[in-house]
Amino acid sequence: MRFFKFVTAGTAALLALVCSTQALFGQAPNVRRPRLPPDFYKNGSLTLRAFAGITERVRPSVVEIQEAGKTIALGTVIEANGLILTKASEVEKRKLSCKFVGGKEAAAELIATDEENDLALLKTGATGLKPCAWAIEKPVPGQWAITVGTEMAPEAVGVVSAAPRKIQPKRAMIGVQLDFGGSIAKIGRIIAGLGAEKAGLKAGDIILSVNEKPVRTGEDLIKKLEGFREGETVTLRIQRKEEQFEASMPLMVPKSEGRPIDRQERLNRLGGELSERAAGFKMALQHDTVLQPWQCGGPLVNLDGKVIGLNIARAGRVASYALTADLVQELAGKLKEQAEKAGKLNIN
Amino acid sequence: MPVKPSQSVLTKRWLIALTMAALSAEVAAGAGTSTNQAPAKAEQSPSVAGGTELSQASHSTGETLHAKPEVITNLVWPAPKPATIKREDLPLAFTRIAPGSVDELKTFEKHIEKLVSRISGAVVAVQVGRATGSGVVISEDGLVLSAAHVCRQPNREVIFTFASGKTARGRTLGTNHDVDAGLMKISAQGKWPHVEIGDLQGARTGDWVLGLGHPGGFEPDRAVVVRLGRLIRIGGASLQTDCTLLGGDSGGPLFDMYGRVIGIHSKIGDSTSANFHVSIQAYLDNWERLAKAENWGEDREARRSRR
Repeated sequence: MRFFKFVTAGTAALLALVCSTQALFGQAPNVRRPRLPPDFYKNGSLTLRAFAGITERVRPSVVEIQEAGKTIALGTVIEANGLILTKASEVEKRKLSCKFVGGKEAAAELIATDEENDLALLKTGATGLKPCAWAIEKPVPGQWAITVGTEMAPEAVGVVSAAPRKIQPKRAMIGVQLDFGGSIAKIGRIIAGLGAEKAGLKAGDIILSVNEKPVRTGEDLIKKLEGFREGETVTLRIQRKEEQFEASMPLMVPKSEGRPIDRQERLNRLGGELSERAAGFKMALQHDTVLQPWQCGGPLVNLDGKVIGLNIARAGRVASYALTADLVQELAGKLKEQAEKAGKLNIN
Repeated sequence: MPVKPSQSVLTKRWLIALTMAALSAEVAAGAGTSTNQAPAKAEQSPSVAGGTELSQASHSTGETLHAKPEVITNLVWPAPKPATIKREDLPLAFTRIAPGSVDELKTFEKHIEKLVSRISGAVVAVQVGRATGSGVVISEDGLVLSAAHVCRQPNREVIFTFASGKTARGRTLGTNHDVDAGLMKISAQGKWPHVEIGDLQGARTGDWVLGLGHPGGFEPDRAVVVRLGRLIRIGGASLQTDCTLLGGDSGGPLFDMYGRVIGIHSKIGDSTSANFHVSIQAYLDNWERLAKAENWGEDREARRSRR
């Protein structure tokens, strides 16, 4: 049984829907309950319709950021004279344009970047834009989180899953999985594409020391490696059968597009593409909205249409992150200063 | 333009269980911080003690009692009873096919926020051996529902971690690998935060549900992770929803809008709408066997599924 989409919200149409779905949802005691059609899912067309009034008020403050006609990110209007915030790692080093509600387009220039926080400030030729309105209240688990684009219906909806917190950056690693069978630091598996593999380490090797500091157990090795950052090099003393040798390797952060390093990573990717930069955020709220990477950079709003965060990453199957409104406002101020110093703030 | 989660054809092969087994060298030290509870005492068996008392009493009176043979139940914990509800108590926003207005969305939201703060305290992260998952406390004395594939076997040591960071120790009880239902018990005495269980008698596809758990393992500065979804399919022993789940969620609770546990997270498929939970009915159907710490059944999905 197919359900057709509704374009108008006329009462007659709604009644028709209710009547026909009674047949679907009406339950005789022993009849097997029918499967829910996708239009009724949390992000189905019928659920999203209820948010249309809110989206209508917010979407003038949202742009689609495009490269060669393809939308690569959303952007949040923060000032009427054409200042737009977005996710830096999606838009750097590209020739950009903005597409507004109603279809108008304008060129856009990247005028300041904050790589640490993954935020970028763009300037577009358009003026008279509607800046977004920021929420004051702290986000609460369970509250609606609405991702607004330039369309009439929201891009997607979800709920706040966890209160704002610091999201740790992805750990840099040498690229081994330990065999926890014994009480020594023995390699169980080499993770492809990282430093350990390139240095020639193999499964079965025992790691005796890190930078001359003896390693007693697997846990000890993990603790010793924790202190190192991406790009730093460690020298390990290795035991392979009767031989001992030294090997140096850099610590690396596995790429999001590379092979998943373990089962959890593989599960995390089930259901959709993830943002390349999906960790290392000073203060972010987590929500369960299913987003595509290109749907980041725009505002996440509450039922009043106020911005509770700027979508900064699709981090996994259960998690999307948004930088909190407070943090974004603070960082936006710094970005404007940066652009002003570079003489880029008031270009025409 | 957004791509709606696809309704992919799910062959059983693709169902993937959600335990996290700590294998990776880079995994942070596990949730098992040293417990601040008193060491677990040997478990009491009040019913057996009661049985003994009864037989002593009958001897002392000397009467020939025309009594039925005493049925000494070995059941320490009786089956929980589903909390009764009245469907009309729920705001309209939840019983319509979809919320119809911003006002309904606001009522909806208030209801969910209240629920979340009420039920979060009963959701636990669990560690059994090297596997980590979730669970939910359903009785004041610390009975915990979880997944069979987290428990694996009866009588294994469990470390429970509450949202507050407080830990407790306990043991696994029964494991039903046919449907992935598992039971656990916190050993330490205490009045544990707990929630009611529900039933699926009046449940309909489309009913809103909340999934709580610890995807990715317990994180001290992140309480429980809340997901909202709807019932997509109601099967005999399993439910499907669009509450997205991940490794670490196994054993965690699926709540109805009355705050009652109606499912326990179990498996996922490829699509974000492929999330499967053990139906609460599966726990009620075989309660005795679970409470008696029996182990039975075979995880056919795991046998068929690829790694």
